[in-house]
Amino acid sequence: MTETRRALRQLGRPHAGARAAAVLLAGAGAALGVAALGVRLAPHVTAVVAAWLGIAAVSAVAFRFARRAARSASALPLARAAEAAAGARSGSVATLLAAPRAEGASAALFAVADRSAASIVTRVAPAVRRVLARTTSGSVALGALLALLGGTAFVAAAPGAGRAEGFWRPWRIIALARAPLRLAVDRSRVRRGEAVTATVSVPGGAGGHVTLWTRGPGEPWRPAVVSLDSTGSGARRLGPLDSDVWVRATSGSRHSEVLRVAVALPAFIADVAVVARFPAYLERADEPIALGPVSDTVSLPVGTVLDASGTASVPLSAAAWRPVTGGAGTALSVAGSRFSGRFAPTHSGVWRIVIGTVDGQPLEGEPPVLALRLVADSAPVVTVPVPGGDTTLPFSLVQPLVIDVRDDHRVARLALESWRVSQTGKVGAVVRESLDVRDAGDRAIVQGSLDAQRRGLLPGDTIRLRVVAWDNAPTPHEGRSPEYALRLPSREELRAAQRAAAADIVAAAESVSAAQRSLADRTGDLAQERARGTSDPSSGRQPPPGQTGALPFQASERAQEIARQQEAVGERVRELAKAVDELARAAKAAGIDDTAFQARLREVQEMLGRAMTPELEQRLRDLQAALARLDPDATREALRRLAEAQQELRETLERSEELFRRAAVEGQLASLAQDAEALRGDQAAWNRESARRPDSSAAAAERDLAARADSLAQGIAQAERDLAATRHGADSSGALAEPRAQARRAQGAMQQAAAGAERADASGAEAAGAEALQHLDSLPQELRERRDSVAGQWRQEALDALDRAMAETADLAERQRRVTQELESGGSPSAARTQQAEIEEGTAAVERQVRDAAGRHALVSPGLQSALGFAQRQMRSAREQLEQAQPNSDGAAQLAGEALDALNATAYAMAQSRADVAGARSGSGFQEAVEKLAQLAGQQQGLNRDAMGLMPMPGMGADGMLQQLRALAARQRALAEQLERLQATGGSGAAGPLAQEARDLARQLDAGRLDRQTIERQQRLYRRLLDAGRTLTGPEPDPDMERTSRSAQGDSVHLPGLLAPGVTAGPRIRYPTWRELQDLTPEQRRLVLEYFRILNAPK
Amino acid sequence: MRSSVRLNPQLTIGRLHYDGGGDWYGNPSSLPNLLAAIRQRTGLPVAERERVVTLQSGDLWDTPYLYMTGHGNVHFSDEDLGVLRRYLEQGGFLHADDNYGMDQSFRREIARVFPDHPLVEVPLSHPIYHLVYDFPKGIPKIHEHDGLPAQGFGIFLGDRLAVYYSYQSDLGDGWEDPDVHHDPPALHEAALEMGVNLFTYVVSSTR
Repeated sequence: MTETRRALRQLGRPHAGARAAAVLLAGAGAALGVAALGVRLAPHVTAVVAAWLGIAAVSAVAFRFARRAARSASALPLARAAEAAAGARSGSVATLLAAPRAEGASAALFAVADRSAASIVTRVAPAVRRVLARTTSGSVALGALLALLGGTAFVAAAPGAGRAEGFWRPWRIIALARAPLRLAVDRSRVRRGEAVTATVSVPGGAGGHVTLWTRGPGEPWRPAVVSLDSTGSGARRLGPLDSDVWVRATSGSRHSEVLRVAVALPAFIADVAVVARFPAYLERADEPIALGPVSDTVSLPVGTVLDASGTASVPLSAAAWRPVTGGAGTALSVAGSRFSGRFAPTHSGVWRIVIGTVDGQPLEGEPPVLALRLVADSAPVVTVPVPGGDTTLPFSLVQPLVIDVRDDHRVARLALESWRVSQTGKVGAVVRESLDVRDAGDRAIVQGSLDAQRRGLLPGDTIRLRVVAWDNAPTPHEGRSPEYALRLPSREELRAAQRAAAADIVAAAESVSAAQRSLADRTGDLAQERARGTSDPSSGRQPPPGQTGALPFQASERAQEIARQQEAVGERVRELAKAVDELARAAKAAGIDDTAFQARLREVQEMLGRAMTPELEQRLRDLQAALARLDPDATREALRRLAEAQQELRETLERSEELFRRAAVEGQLASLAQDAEALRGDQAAWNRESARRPDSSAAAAERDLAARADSLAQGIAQAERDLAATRHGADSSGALAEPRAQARRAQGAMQQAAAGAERADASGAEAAGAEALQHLDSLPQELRERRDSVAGQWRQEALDALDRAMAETADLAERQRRVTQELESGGSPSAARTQQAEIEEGTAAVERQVRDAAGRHALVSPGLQSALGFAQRQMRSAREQLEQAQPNSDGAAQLAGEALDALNATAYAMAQSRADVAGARSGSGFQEAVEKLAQLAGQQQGLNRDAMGLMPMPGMGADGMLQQLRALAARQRALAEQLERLQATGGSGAAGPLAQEARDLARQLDAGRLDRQTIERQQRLYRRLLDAGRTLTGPEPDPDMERTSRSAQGDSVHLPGLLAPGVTAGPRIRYPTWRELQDLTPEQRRLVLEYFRILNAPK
Repeated sequence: MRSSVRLNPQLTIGRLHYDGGGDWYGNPSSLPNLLAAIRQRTGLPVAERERVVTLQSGDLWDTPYLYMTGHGNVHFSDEDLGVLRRYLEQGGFLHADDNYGMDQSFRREIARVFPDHPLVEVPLSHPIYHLVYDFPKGIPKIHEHDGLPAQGFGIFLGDRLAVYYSYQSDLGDGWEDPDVHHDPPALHEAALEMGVNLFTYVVSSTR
């Protein structure tokens, strides 16, 4: 080593070490910084590994730079620095650092040079040292600074913390980084709509991220980034889930397994249907019932069965209806996820369908509940609005009833129960009458009547009634109306009412007769006016031009008025007949079972019943039709024919009026006789029981009897007046004076007896009572005898009148025979004309007598008047033939001959009528006619039976059948002849049409025609025979009565009858409805309706 | 050009203005009172007043309930007869209320309208006596006339009651303001109830 090198080495050595240390310090600082970064990023594998690599690199670089820094203070740089500091030639020092190696170099020389250079170095050493120091100190400072910074960062990175563990143990991190990801879900099966939490654990992945992949069925994977926490775990909520979901996680090349989260359907009941099936008798259609968690209360009839079915979303293990309050339920059958079954609730309450699932999964939501109210079938509710309370039976003893019955389902049966309660309180057996309520539905309003006449009631008795209804339940429920008491009027009350009613009917009959008389006159006048106006050319009045044959307005109005009034009179006649009928029944109920009186009433009823003849009604219809057509000729003819029919009606009414007037007197007398009888009995009882114990009560009772005696006397006086009002009644007016006086005497004695009783005078009371009884003793019998006497007198009057008429008719017939012979033999027309006129006048007189007789006795045939009228017309015609300028004797002879026949027939009929009147049990003959009709009805019934027997007769030969039919025809014909005879004698106006029908039937049978139609006709004929004489009813107010108005008082009730069948029959083709036509114009509507009218028009 | 817009006339009763001299305008407060009762008791949106119609007016066809009353004569012309018959056949309803003296002429005229359908007494079981209020004894009697009971007659077209004739009842008087006739409240009420029944029947059975 040279001196120079040595000097330089000494000079540079401290600096070389300092500089290397500075570099090392800097390298350490850098390494610490990297380590701090690695700690900070730990346990990130890459960061940690990078950090350690960085530390290694920094360390390597530091060492290298340390060596380099140390070399910067080595001999060579110092040599050059010394050369520079010494200003020496370059290389003058540096070349002496090493001994020369070339051959031939002087070592000495070199040594000199070496020393010289060493001296230079020594000399410039301070300067060089200063330069070196400057650089070295800078390097050291920088190195220290870096080291300080690195150390600070390292300390700040908390190398001791847990996180730093990964940094300090990098091999472990690397090992974890290669481990797989862990993925977990909190539930692998969830309900629809729920969510799950997926947790990913990444070993060594703290603070990192993973990708969580999810997908549904058939869907692509969808990524989601999950941040990891410091423990390398991350979680993510998935849902709400509608379907299964698959989950996996990835992190770099690492991945987890794939997990499936299954979505289970919720367990719930769906498609629940509950159908109420009502008991069959209710005839109600099944009804679905809505269920829900909260159910409104459903009312169901007892016996209703609930048919429940439904489906659950899961397989079921059990199902049942259970009451929410606990207790036994009704199991339903289960099949898979379905349940069904029947449930018959037995009590009201809230019921729930309880479902059990196979997997025990509870059901979603609240189970369906059903709040039930079981309604027991109620009994029918029955009210009886009419009479609506206890009352007294009407005079007719027929109590009208209106029954209103309701049920919650259907009224099946209805019955009227009534029983008699006697005055003594004895209760009779219940009489039950069924009432028809078929097709009534849940309500029926039934009209009926309680006929007390058939109950054999006694005065003072009470009928109690109630109405019982049953519904249509299997075990019918019974509903009853309140009980009503109907008091039977006493006989005295009934008799008094009967007499008053008879008086009313007399007045009504008078009014009707007067109205008909007036109407007939007006009709006749109008018919004659019309005839004069159109047929009398001498009147000089000609219809205006263009109006020939037109019906004048005023005439039309008058004719219409006549037609209307005729209808009204007809109604009144029918009303009258009904009133007579009611009177007869009421009289019977009142105990006036006098057969003569009853027969007389029947006669009058018969007469009134046939007063409105079919001919009259037909002629009325003809008139109305003619008026509707405005046909003057037809109107005129209809008026004429109506006038004729009216005449007949008028006469019938007049006859019936007189007959009824007499019947009423007979009834009065019979009624008074019974009053007297009752009074006598009561007086006898008073004498027996009260007269011996006279006191105030006995006196009061006797005063009551005196009042009844007074009433009896007044009644007899009234009968006297009524008797005098009858035709020829004045002759008999004195017949009742003695009975009336007797009643008065009895009254006087009773008053004395009452006074005696009041004074407690037993003997006086007894004596006066005995006297009263004595006066009364014969009074009933006397009154009956008077009645018989009056009836006999009237019959005798009729016989006398018939005798006179018969004698005169025979005389007239003889004279008519002579006139006829004269005319036939060519005698003088003028003489014959005179004789004919006289006979004609005589015939008119006989007709008046017959009419008079007919008014006294019903068996005087009205046919007599017709025959006499015919005779008169023929006589008039014959006379007119003779009055011509050229008398027509032949024609007159023929007409006179016809008049003769009519007179002879009349005389014969008169003889027959006389025999009838004389032999009539009833005193008037109608009873016989009715009996005859009944007898004929019986015959017809036998015929019908035989004809029916012939209908299905297999095996009988045609000849045998024909023979049987002919025999039937002969019997039918015989019946027709009897009817014709009955008609000829005037016994029954209905006999004519019946005879005609019988004849037709006989012809049918004769012709071998026995079919269903013939049988039906025979049945009808039988019924008509039975019904002959029945009357119609129909209230109609008097149109002429002045009307006044005031608020209604009382309970004036009119109960309408049922609708006649067919009234509500609709058109064949239904007309368009209001709504259907609403959008059409009026003209279109008109056309449419016109079209339907044509379709519906009768063919 | 016809408008396609249809007016929807308010439901009300038509008062028939007829010829013949009768006072068709009688009982002026009756129908407003009845309409008020109908509105209050049934909820039907009826007008406050009636509509006066003649048989030749177009309003007739928008009137389901035609009411006629009066004391005097009624006369329908030939044209009127046809219109009235068509109106009734296509679902209209006529209530004739005899207010005193209309009986004869009404019966005559209605027989001209329906010669083939007689006036018959409406049976107790008919809905007009039970639809809303119960009348188990039939039509109530409001005014006493001739001592005769009240009666309800009708004409049935098929099973529908097309004409109702209240006779001897005077429903119209009963509908009037109570101080007009000084009827007892019970009668006023009964008349209104019967009117409500009739109107309800009409609007519920109109075809």
